[in-house]
Amino acid sequence: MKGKEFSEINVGDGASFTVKIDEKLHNAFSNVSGDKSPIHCNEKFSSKTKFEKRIGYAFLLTSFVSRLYGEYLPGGTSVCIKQDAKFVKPYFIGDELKVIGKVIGKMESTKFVEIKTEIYRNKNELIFRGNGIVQVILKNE
Amino acid sequence: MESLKAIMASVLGIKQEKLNDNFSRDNSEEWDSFNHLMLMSEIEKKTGIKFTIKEIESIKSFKNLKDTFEKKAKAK
Repeated sequence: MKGKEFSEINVGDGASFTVKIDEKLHNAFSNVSGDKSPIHCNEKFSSKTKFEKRIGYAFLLTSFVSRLYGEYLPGGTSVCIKQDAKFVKPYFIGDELKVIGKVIGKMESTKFVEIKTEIYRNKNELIFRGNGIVQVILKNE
Repeated sequence: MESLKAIMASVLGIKQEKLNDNFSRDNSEEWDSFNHLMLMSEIEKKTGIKFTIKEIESIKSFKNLKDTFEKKAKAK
């Protein structure tokens, strides 16, 4: 998808994609981050927690926000300069996540675009929310 | 409309009393390049006044900001 220029972005524009959380993805993030916490990596330990199984990495969710901004909205024409992150509920290996973004504001002076981001697990349970600001950095605008 | 001082104090996380004509990017730890862009955006959002890149770069003090803002508000 071609990234959008600032003038092509409108309040109300949206984008979404889904991603399946499998062992491979979970372990890849574990390796990249170096976070080997038993709540993520040890099934026996996790069975004694209130969730009774390993939980997904909260910060893996923010990497999907990166994908949202870089690939879909605006799609490779901006840098993220601010991101709020509220990890509302846990998610688990095997879940299907839906990542949703919607443009809620534009500031001409700074070429800032404010985007509301949400992630749902298994279609309807909100697990992440937080507004972000990206700056469109194309020189010709 | 929210005053310029109120917007700036909120973005920089400081008290309005701290803002006078001598308050500048050189003598304020809070007014860094990130907060400068946030400030310009917040002013546009709250007042509808838009700045050019050249103006954004030239604003170095509260007095600069006030003068530029008032000039643009009059011309609007």
